Amino acid sequence: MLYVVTVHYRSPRWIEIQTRHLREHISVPYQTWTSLERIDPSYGAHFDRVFEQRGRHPGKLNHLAMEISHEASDDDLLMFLDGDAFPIADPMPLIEEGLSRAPLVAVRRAENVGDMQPHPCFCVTSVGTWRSLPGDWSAGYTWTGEGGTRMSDVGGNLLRALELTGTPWVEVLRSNAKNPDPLFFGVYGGTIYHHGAGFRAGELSRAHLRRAPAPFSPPRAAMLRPLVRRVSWRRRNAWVRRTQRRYLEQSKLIYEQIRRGGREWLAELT
Amino acid sequence: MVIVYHPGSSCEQICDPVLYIVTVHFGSPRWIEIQAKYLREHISVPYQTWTSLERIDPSYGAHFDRVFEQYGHHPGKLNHLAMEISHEASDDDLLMFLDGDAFPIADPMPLIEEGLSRAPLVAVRRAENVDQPQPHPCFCVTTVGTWRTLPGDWSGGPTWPGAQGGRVTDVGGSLLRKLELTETPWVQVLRSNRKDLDSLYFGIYGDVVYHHGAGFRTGELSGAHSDTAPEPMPVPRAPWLRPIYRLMNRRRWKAWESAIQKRHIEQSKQIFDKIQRGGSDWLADFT
Repeated sequence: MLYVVTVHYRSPRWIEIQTRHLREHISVPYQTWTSLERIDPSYGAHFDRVFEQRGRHPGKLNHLAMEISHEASDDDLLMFLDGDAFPIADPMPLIEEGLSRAPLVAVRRAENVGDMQPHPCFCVTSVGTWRSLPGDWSAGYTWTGEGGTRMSDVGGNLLRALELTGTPWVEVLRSNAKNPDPLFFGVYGGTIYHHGAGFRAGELSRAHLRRAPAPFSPPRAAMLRPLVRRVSWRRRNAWVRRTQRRYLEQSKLIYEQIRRGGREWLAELT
Repeated sequence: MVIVYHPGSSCEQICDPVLYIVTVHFGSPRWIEIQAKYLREHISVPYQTWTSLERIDPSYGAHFDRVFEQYGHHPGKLNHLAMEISHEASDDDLLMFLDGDAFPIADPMPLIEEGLSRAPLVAVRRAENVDQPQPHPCFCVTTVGTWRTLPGDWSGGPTWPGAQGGRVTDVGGSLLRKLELTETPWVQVLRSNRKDLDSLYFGIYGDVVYHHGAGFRTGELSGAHSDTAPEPMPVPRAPWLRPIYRLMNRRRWKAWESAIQKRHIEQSKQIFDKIQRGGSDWLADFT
């Protein structure tokens, strides 16, 4: 059995799209387990099991995986899938090929300032591996990103568990032929689409912010420095607003195309 | 102290289990010296302190045995530290989670040994916080083996009924669910203050551990506090009066919230200053 773990929060907008693509592309028996915080409970009809949850995304995923681990067999598969992610092709060949090489297959968002860790927008492992690692989606453990800064994010502790146990994993990387955005609207391994920040409006990632204009260098005259800082700050804020506006417009456009059905929207990415 | 023999272990002799203390400090070093001093005074067995010091001068690392660079939220940091310890320690070693603003005020080993003789995990339960059901990381002790096999996880996620009737979660929610699913019993250490300056903060648990409460956040209110908030005035029959009543209710609630926060911050400062001066006189306010 393939257990699909997905969390929807506040908006039901991706539920029908995600479950439709799962029905179309998953070729093996599967169940969907979810939580629907701040979403009309009637949407629960789209899923096999719905749990009442509060709190942050990593904790919700850990909890759902714990409930599955309690019922499932070691050989069953666990697929973590973000609420705004879904397969655009049968993922089983990618999963089977990956799991023949390592016990865990997951997206790595290398495009997000060199993220090192597995990402829950798409991650597959066996229930047995998740139990024995044990898996944990929390952030905490840090790594050095591009530019030399230390960072952590969802999946950080899973990366550390893989390192400490010497467990190899197969990275599924971004495969877009066209990139309307440096991070969002991503296709991974030619198989999974991840809209990105699908439940948060206009939030910018590290991949976006590293393209922000650098502050002007401070002038020699000390009295001018506050003014230059102010100008730099205003320039950056204007850039952030412009980028957010552009991303939100693109997000809305692509979402509408996906909702209408068909595969034309994919032509803009692949 | 239980003496455990580890055949084939690195020590190849009769070894005392080590007590690994997991504590996270964030944003301020104010509790570090106090906590380290009380640990030295009251822990009667070999112990190590493992921590992370996000946004704190790295020189404070000298107060600890191991310091990890971490970012993120409290539960993830605790999970990570426990993972690092589990990788090095023996199954019989002890794991003590202790909030950054918590410390022992008496030797905790009798409480721990008595608790672990009855169940594999001993932890504070903050029953005074709207009857919270879950173990709390302000003080929780188990063996490394139990943490590995559960496996433990401090994340929130699973829910229970909260202050205003809605479902809530908090740190320790997933650990509670894990204990339920594996039918693992645990020993609850409850609040033992004889005097309560606050309904939740400044707590003593099992007469052994002090927890200042929200020691890294100023003025934040919990479910226990919200429970004592003024009831909203009843909605009037005349629809045109309702917006005015709603506004009045909001104002009354805000005024109550500000007053509670102000009182909490003043009390917190007063107690902190007394603790910092040393001695045990400050405990007379609670016991």
